Amino acid sequence: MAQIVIMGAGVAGHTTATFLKKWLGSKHEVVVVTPNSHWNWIPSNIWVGVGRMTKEQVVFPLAPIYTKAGIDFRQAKALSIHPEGDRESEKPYINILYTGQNKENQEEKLHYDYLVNATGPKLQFGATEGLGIDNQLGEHTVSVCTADHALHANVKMQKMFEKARAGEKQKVIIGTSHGTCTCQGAAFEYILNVEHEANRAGVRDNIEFKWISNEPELGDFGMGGMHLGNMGYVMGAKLLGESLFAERGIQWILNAHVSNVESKKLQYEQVDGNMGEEEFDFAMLIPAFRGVGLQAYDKNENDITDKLFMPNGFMRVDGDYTQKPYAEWKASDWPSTYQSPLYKNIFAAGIAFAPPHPISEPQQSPNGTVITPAPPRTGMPAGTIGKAVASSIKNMILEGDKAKLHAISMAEMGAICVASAGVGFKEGQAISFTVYPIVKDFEKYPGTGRDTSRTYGEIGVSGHWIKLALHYLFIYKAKLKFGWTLIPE
Amino acid sequence: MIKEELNFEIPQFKGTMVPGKFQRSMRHCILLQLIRMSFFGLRSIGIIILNIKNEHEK
Ligand SMILES: Cc1cc2nc3c(=O)[nH]c(=O)nc-3n(C[C@H](O)[C@H](O)[C@H](O)COP(=O)(O)OP(=O)(O)OC[C@H]3O[C@@H](n4cnc5c(N)ncnc54)[C@H](O)[C@@H]3O)c2cc1C
Repeated sequence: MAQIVIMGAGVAGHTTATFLKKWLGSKHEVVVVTPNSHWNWIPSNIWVGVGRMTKEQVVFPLAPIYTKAGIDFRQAKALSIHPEGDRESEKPYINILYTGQNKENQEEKLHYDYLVNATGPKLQFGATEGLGIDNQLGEHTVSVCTADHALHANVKMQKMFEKARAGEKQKVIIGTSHGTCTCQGAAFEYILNVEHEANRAGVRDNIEFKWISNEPELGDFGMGGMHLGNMGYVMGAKLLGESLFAERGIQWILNAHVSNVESKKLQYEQVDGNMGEEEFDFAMLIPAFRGVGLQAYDKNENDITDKLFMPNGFMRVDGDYTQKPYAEWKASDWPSTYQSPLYKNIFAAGIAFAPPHPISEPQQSPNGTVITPAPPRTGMPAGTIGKAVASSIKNMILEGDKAKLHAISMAEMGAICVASAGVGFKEGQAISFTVYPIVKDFEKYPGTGRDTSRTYGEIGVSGHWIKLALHYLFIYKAKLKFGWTLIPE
Repeated sequence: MIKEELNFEIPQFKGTMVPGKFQRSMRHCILLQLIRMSFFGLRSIGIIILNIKNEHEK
């Protein structure tokens, strides 16, 4: 009997665990280690953050689902990986620290035959002065990265609306904080949703909206921008992004690294060296992401963290991590099996794997501050990679040495993204995109790096219906209800 | 905000393409949007099939 341990129960980890259990049945053991007791459909946190959904609508408890599926659930945080075991035994294990199940603060050794790191990002508020401490959000701004953050964001937003209703002019700033942030899409959705709600509440005229981000141009989204085919035209996402903002009277600051946040004020530095300051009454800034800080040790208890992980804490897999200039970046640099080159029984899925480099062109200010969006790893790639990793582990268990791995790189993978621009069955809107491939491949698609017949975008209320349908569909799938395997990642 | 209220003198808004009232109403026309949604559904199925096809053994 093989024991497979999956660290993390987000999109990637939950996908890997549930497929492995389905394919391997009771002959092998699947263990999920995750500090959260509930699963969260993170994309809908945007709607919690504007009061259009409750927290209960976007989360559900994991324990009953895992019990029903026969998955061993440990509500705990993984601390360290020991891929060679230790001086007492050669059997690999991880150390975990319980966060629930009435075992809070107890440490335990958990042996594995196969290990999947799907621990997602650490929300590094502490990387920006005044934004927070370590992974804790500070008091000056709000966040929508977790369901609880989103609840708090809505409370603050409603207070700001009350002031606007009373005739006080308000200023909103939404975007990214650190120069190396990713997840611009979430901030983009949030600014459009807050603006939409301000209109509904009849307070829009008293609120000024501003976007701030590390993107070189609007519509970059950490993907080096996009060229979208639509109605026989091919249009840069820059034009789409700017037009959507112009239509809503939202101005923007780009190429920016927020260096400091204080009460109602932030300072930033731009790629051209300009230093600026903005005042605000309400701000939501996405924090920098890094790996969750897992440590690794060899059998003699020597620290091998830097061998398993990149300096940003994300796990090294089968990508080409050689430092090279932008002109030499290739689609083939991107990993495809997500297997650790050092330990063949360790994989990373979703945000936890280290990308070889950004997708957007790197930039630095004259002071040397890096202002380059990190590449996004959204829900669809996280799920697709999670399933491919599950297939590889299944093959390794069932076929032994001759097993083949499942491979799909983000340069061969397409994604469907629906960015909400406001809630409402009739008055809601969203921008629906398809992108192929996610990572630009200039050898295959000279000019734009992508297939423009498959990279497409449009805005309308139908996008909102799709986003709402996806909310219910993915929660249904994650709850492993009848036919869940038929719903694609 | 609708097109007529827009201030194209704001430098950032100069190069943009903003829909007029008719185009905006089309974004909320139920029938048209149902058709658009079907097309988007087909495009999405295309992407899902591509992802399945591109996953290979190594
Ligand atoms: C506000 C917001 C909106 C978004 N909207 C969209 C969208 O519309 N569409 C889209 O495709 N993507 C969207 N994304 C991105 C999407 O949420 C991520 O791509 C996806 O969640 C990544 O999945 P993951 O499994 O890699 O990480 P996560 O979902 O973050 O899961 C990581 C898991 O690891 C656990 N963990 C953390 N530390 C440890 C540890 N030490 N030990 C064990 N477990 C640990 C966490 O508790 C969590 O369960 C959005 C993101 C945000 C923040």
